[in-house]
Amino acid sequence: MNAVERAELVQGLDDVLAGTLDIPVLLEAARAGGAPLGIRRAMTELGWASIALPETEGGLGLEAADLVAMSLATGRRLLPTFLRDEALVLAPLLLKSGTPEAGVKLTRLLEGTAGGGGAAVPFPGDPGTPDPTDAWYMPLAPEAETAYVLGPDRSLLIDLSAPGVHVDRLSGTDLSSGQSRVRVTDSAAISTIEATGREYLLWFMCVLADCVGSAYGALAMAVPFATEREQFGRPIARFQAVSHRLADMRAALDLSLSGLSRLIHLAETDSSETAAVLHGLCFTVPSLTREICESAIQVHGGTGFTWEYGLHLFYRRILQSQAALGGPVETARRAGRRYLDDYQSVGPGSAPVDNGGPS
Amino acid sequence: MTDLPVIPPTLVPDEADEGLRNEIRAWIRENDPGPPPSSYVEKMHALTEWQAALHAAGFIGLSWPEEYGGAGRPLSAEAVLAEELAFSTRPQLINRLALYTWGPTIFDWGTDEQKTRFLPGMLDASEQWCQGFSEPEAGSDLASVRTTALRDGDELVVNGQKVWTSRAELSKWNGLLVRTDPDAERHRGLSVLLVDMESPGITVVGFPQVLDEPHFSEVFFDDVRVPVDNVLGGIDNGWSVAMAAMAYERGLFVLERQIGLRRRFDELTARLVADGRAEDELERLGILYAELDLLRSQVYRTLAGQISGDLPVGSTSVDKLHLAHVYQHLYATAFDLLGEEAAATGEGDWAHDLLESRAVSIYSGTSEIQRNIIAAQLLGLK
Repeated sequence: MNAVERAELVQGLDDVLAGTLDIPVLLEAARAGGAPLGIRRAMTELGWASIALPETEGGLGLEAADLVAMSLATGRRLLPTFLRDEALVLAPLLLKSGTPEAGVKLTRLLEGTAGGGGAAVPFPGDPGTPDPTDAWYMPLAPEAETAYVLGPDRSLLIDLSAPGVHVDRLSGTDLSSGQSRVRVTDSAAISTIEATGREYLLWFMCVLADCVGSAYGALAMAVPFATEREQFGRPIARFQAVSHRLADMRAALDLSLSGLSRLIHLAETDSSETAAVLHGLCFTVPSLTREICESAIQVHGGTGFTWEYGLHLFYRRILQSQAALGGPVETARRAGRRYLDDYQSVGPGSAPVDNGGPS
Repeated sequence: MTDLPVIPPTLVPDEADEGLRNEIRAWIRENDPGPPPSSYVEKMHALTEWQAALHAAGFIGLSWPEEYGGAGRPLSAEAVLAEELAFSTRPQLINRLALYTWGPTIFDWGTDEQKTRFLPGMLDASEQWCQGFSEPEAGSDLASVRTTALRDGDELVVNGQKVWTSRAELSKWNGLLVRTDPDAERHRGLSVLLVDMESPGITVVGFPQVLDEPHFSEVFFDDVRVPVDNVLGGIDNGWSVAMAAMAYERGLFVLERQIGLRRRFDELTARLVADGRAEDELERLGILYAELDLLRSQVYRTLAGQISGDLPVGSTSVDKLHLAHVYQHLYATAFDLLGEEAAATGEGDWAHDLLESRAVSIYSGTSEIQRNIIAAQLLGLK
């Protein structure tokens, strides 16, 4: 798929989402603590859950770059994260599992009669397999029947209706996505799927893109507000204190997009630099996009702090995503760990350059 | 703003780039002469010889047209050279202002005669270049330059003063922004002249900055006669030419700096490892690593846009803004981590480089100017 086709695909998704998920709808859902009414039906009619499946399985055969680009729209329009992850991760995992039970669950997912959700162990997971005795925080659909825990080598599928599975529903910060704590005391509820590195990497890239999409949503509210809102007899955007803040927000957005673009290319070409670059972006992108939201609230003044205006929805989304990626302190430490390991194994001044080669 | 953000292009090397990478790496392994002398004058001489040797080996001007002594490769080949030079003891090209800024500007705006005259000497560093834009009363407000160049037959007579001119004392040529029509509106009536620095009437005076080092000069012009044939891009068209030249100050220029910063970051790490402190500083190392790597991604985006010719106006201000942040953050962190020893002994040049880093958010357009450009060009704020 070329860049123009990809842009058309993403725009098509955005059109559907924009027509369904406006700020009043999202606020109502957030206050009620659940997904916006009708969103699952709308996404099912769109065939959303199958987008990451191969064409032979009724999917669109999309590449990772396409799916990451679509995540810009999921973040921009605040599609509940479990709906995003059901399509990008859960459906491919159920297909890869290949068991009859997984086949039934995949059918129900595609029909929109069941859902799921999941999480990923820190990148790169150590050990490569999630520990079944852990408790995991994850966004789960109200109708979830399967959860996943992604690892870089292999992943877990959890049958949420099986004995020994405990699900605590929590409010979360991203209110319409919600959060749940999942604990498993009977390993019979868990099945293991091998060779899930692609899904694992894709999930991280999509969460980062989702953050960028949400930050864009906040910036897209702040710029017109600053040009229309007048104080002291002129639009506040004409005050350099405000315009420079907006410029910093735009710079942060562009930097995040540039990082995402390079990451996609490295991942597509199996570059040896992929992991190190991803580590860096897991710190920088959530930090920069979070700052964009914080600045957007500041630019709006008191208006930005009201419930009804809805700016907090983007902020909540990014805070939740940043936490899901490990949080700023931990992601910085992991980036430092990865860098130091590379430095000590290869030596100073001789780090490999692998720009990914021709795509 | 549109409804959605768009993922921009990134630099994608071609098959030939990887072959070139191996070729350069092998050549450097055989020919690296070792670190240059520490004295400024001797260092400049050694770096001039180094660029000449690289040129003789066929590695300078990789993206330049073959008819002007280049290799006719895509811009990505220049990125490969910069990345491989980073592993040498002499990572910077002495005549980079010519190679990265004035050469490409002359490609775009120069006459055939100017291309034939000026480009070859840039490649082997036999003719080095400086840039005369800033004046005592024209820093961020570049359009307020006062240095005049008034026509006298087939010549222009230059009078005035430039300041903050890097390496003026080494340069044969100066890309000089002057006012050729004093009565015209600010952005009109300007011209860019290619001035021979050996011309009578030019006086170069060292201008020590906070480090008391002779990197910069004031350059005085007293009735300096410049042939009209040395006007670049036409008389009174200097604003457009100057803006084009400044746009070329990003891309490869910033990549070179990113690579240099990464080397210094590795040196900081080496010091922390030697002291047994690296494990305690993973968070700070991780933040610096991530910010440096993001700068690389941004440069790759800019280079990709320069190759395709669809770089949004104003987008390179993002590169400059982030470069200044990363530059100052790296040296501030290093100084803070190494503490009293770095301050007292100058060991590792960390204090030196922290002091020097304050210039990065000032030169080539202050960070405030970059924000003005982003607000106006990328956000449409008036």
